[in-house]
Amino acid sequence: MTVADARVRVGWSLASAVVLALVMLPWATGHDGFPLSNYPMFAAARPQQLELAHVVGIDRDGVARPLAPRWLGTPEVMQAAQTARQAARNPAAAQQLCARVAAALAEAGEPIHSVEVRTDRYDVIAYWADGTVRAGRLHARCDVDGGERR
Amino acid sequence: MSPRHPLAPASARRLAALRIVLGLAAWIYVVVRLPHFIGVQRFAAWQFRPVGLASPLSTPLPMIAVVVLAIAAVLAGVAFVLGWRWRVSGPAFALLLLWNTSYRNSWGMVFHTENLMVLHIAVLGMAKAADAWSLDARGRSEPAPHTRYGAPIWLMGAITVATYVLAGVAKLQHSGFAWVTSDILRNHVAFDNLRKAELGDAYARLGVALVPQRSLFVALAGFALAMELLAPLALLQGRIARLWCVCAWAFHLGVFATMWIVFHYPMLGLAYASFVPLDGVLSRLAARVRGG
Repeated sequence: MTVADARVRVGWSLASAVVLALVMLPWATGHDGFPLSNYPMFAAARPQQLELAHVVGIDRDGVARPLAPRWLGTPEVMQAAQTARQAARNPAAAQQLCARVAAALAEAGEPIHSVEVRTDRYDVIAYWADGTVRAGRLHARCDVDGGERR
Repeated sequence: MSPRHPLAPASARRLAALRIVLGLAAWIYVVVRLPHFIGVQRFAAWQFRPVGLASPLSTPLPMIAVVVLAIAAVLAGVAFVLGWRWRVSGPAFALLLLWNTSYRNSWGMVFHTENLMVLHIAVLGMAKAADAWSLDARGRSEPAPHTRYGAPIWLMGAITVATYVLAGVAKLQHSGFAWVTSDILRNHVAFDNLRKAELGDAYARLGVALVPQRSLFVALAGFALAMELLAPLALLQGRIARLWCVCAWAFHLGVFATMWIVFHYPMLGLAYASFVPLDGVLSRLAARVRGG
């Protein structure tokens, strides 16, 4: 083995050890970051009761339906969930999100009368058996034509 | 199969094949996701929670910087795949990919679907992955098999394995073996599909239909946890590695069928590419194309 070969071997041994130590570091720290993560997404038990912040559209007959993530400015459902969750914690942010979604719906001519940013409660097993939704909290409501109601 | 030990030699072509296939996949990902990489600027500044390379930032970047860095990633990706001016383009694409994905993940939600892709490209970027089948290697004779080509291939496989082990360990740390024996997985499926439905997104109708089958979810959870914790066996032996890759791929297929979650990198087999002699596959493909 030449000196150059030995250098390559030592170099890659060290590089591999450092990279693998970094990749495994979240095991010790419990940190869920990027691109190093402990991948906790399905690890913890989910409660059977769920409180979910989301944005719903109310049509002219008063029927509420969830609005797709694209109306919240993202194609990603998890990003939409996070956007709604963060807005639900802050009244000003909830109004801002509500107005932004309502403006987008108005511009697209969607048959939606008003928008609500709300948190609803569910039993995740019962929901799929009978569609049960429990009463929730309203954070913001706005008319799609731009007039804010609350 | 993947080199048997961390310093085993491999051919330059074997590593170059990974550069071409994984680099091309990452480049396509950047191009397809370009509107999203740039579109994050539409989010309100209060949503900015920087992670990864973006961590030092306290406020979002100006729009022009976001656009320039995203386009730079596209251009560097072309050079990466072609193996042109590798000493610059290899590390540059790896860094720009990490930057753009970090910035996109900095708006309140970390997407775990990109981690492995970014880590694999980083390993390729610091390796001599353009010593064959590249613009840089034109007119040069192909070097002999060497540790400098085998070591990064082994490292990529080890990183893949490590991410699955971490996921398995996280389950044990949070829930112990109750993760298998209780209703945890079943509730995850019911919970995740409900959340998608109530957030106006598509959900997995098969997963919803299976929610009443408690014992089925215990079996699925046992399979998933075993696959994750036994992943290191894939580094030991060829046949076991093949079996593990199939199991891991089937796991992601199951996640898609029951939760409508697409982990594109493993589902396309890219996560397991370092376990496969891709140079042979590409050679046969090229021969077939040349032969008409």
